[in-house]
Amino acid sequence: MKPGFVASLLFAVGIGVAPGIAAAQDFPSQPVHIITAEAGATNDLQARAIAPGLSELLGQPVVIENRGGSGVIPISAVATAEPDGHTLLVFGGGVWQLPLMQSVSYDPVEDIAPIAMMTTAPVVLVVNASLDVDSVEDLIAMAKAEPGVLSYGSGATGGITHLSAELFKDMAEVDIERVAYSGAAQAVTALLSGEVQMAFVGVNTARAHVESGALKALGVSSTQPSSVYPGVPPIAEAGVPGYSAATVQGIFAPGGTPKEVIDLLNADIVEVLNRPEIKEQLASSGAEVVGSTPEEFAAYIAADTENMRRVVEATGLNNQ
Amino acid sequence: MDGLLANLMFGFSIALTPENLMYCFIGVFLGTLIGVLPGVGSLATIAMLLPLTFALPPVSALIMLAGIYYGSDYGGSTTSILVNLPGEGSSVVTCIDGHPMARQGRAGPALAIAATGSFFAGCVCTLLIAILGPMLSRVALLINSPEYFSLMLLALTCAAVVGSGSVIKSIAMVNLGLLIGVVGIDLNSGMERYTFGLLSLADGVGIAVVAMGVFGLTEIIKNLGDDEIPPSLLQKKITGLMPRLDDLKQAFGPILRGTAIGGIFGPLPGLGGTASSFASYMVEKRLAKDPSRFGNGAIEGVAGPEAANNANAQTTFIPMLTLGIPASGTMALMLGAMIMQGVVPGPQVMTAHADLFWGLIASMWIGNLMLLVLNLPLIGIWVRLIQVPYRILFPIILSMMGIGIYSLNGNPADVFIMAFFGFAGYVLVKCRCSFPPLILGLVLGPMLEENFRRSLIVSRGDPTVFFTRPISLTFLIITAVILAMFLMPVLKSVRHRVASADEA
Repeated sequence: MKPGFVASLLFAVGIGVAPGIAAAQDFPSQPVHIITAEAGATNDLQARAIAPGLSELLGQPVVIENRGGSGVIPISAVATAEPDGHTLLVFGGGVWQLPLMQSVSYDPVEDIAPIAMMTTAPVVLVVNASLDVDSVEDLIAMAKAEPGVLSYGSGATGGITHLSAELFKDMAEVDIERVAYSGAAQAVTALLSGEVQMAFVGVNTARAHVESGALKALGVSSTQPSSVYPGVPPIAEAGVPGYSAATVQGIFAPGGTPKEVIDLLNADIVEVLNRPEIKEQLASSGAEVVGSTPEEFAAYIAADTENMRRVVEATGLNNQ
Repeated sequence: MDGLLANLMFGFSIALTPENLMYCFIGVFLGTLIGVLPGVGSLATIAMLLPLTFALPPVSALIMLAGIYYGSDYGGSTTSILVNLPGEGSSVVTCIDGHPMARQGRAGPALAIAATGSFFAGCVCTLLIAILGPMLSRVALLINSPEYFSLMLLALTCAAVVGSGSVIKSIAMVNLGLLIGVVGIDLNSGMERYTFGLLSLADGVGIAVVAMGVFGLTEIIKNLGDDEIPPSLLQKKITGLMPRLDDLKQAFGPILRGTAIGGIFGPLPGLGGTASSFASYMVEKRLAKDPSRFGNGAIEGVAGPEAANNANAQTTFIPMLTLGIPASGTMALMLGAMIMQGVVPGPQVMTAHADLFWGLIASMWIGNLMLLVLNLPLIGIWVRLIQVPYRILFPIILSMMGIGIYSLNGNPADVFIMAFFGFAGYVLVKCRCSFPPLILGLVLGPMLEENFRRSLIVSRGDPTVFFTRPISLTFLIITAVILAMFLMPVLKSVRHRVASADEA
């Protein structure tokens, strides 16, 4: 990209905003850092997918920085970063869900500013093929007939594999024991070996083992039939009306970042996300591109925070 | 068998194309490089290179990424042997005997035997993947939480019994390791334990951080704390670059056994290179005629663990390739690479993407050969490093450690935690405590607890679950036998003492 183009782009953005916001006019004046969790995590892979395109549009290098494993470390790092748009965060629902379950050093509304919801991916309710159920209704009937016999495998506490199952238990009014594993992969191993009977897992994992006949897919967590896993009914239409859960990945800036910078970043990020090759790449990992506006994302976060607060209170996760 | 041969030939026809040979070489070369640099792990490197591989065909991409992974295991032993600095968690064990060998002027043979052992293990395990891959992945499914717990118990018992010096101190160090392993967020409840509200401790204390502290940093403090700073690390003249014939004879058995241990541990999630090399070390020490040689430069203590570690690196691919389940973080990344390439991981990869499966396996064999050829001539250069005056060498090591630890997670607090363990380690050295049991406790402790609690949750609180499952019971019986073998002489001597006291 020619530097002249970048300059004129910045100028165009500059004249459109109120005078006196130097930070917005300068942006981007240095490399942009996107902070993610550990290398290879979903947020990390998605950040790496958009980084080359974003760098090209911004005319600055985009560097991915891995901060620790799961948990709040990457979020806290961005919450305390300079709010000038040069430090961004790609992360999942943990940004606003983790504060419901543990004490954190940041305020999810004040210290973190949403830029765009990047993708959403449903999870799939799978059971071991030897379990004598063929639908969500069967499973609920079995759990009600023999309470405390079924157990589900989950990854990290407060993660999607955990919360989607707790939401299911809450809404279907069933008692299913949680067995925690250090990662979703280990939970799948346990499900294959029959140590647990069911789990909520990602689309790709589900598909591979359903095709081989080791697992049965009973439902997807999206409210509509999912484009990334067609042929499996939504759980909401198969016995638990209103059920909805998803792995959302979003991109965020530190709270207090000028609105002009956020809008500029949003436009560029949404453009990159909608490129056919990026869409295809993300779809192959089981995620549907969303590319929302900052306002839409903020509204989603507010609604989801309320839903999750209910689940967390119902399951007693907040009392720990 | 004919089918296997045909498949292997098919694999070689893919792996031997000029461009795949080139990607294989780039992979193993990069792997060796990052293995030698302490702290820069294969996980970070693969993550950084991942986007670059999208442009490559899937086979070439995986061949290169796999090369980085097992290549780093070869390189990791180099700094362990030369300067007592474990480059990767899995080369911690190599420090124990490798570094004493280097100080006795035998760095060449130590490096050579590490490379040879790794090569042998790599070749055998590549074949193992080809022949037994699908079957081994079924075996991995038989190992559930109760089996893991019993296996961990067996390993910890061995650690305490086989540790050098005072048994009481070994047990104390294992326990200290277990306690350090508890730090972080509890898996079941999400509660923070022993984090003192510090964010940096929420994810626990990394094995590499502790290992670099207590091995690398403590060693430097110890050397500088001597009355006279040693002119160089070398205590005796360098004697030969290559192993002698009796070295090879001594190392042969350990390499065979190490390969078997690493090969079996590889497909089991959680039992990574560190656990394999520890297991091999304990077995060798147990089998040795004169266990006191261990810790003072026994070549078996380098050969076995290095073979185990590399065998593990190869067979870790089994669950990833045959079930689509990653046994480690690096494998999760490789899986990510496959998905991005449009290859849906799972049991169908072997048939639907036969070129990928067999091409990768054949390339592993070629990559191992490349690593041997690459590493043997380098020994001459590495050995000269240890002759560098210590006053020049130690600041270099120190800054490399700092950079390496920081680059692991990009967390500055890790550098301070390493420094803490460096000083704490010095105090422990002065108390004549040894570190291997500590590291072992740290590696196995969290898994022991996790699997114990999980077993009881699954059995709804019934503790007999450990005895009613045949594989678990077998591990427990072996544990009991080892304990009995160890306690018998102790009891006898107590009885003897009591008897002689009666006579008096």
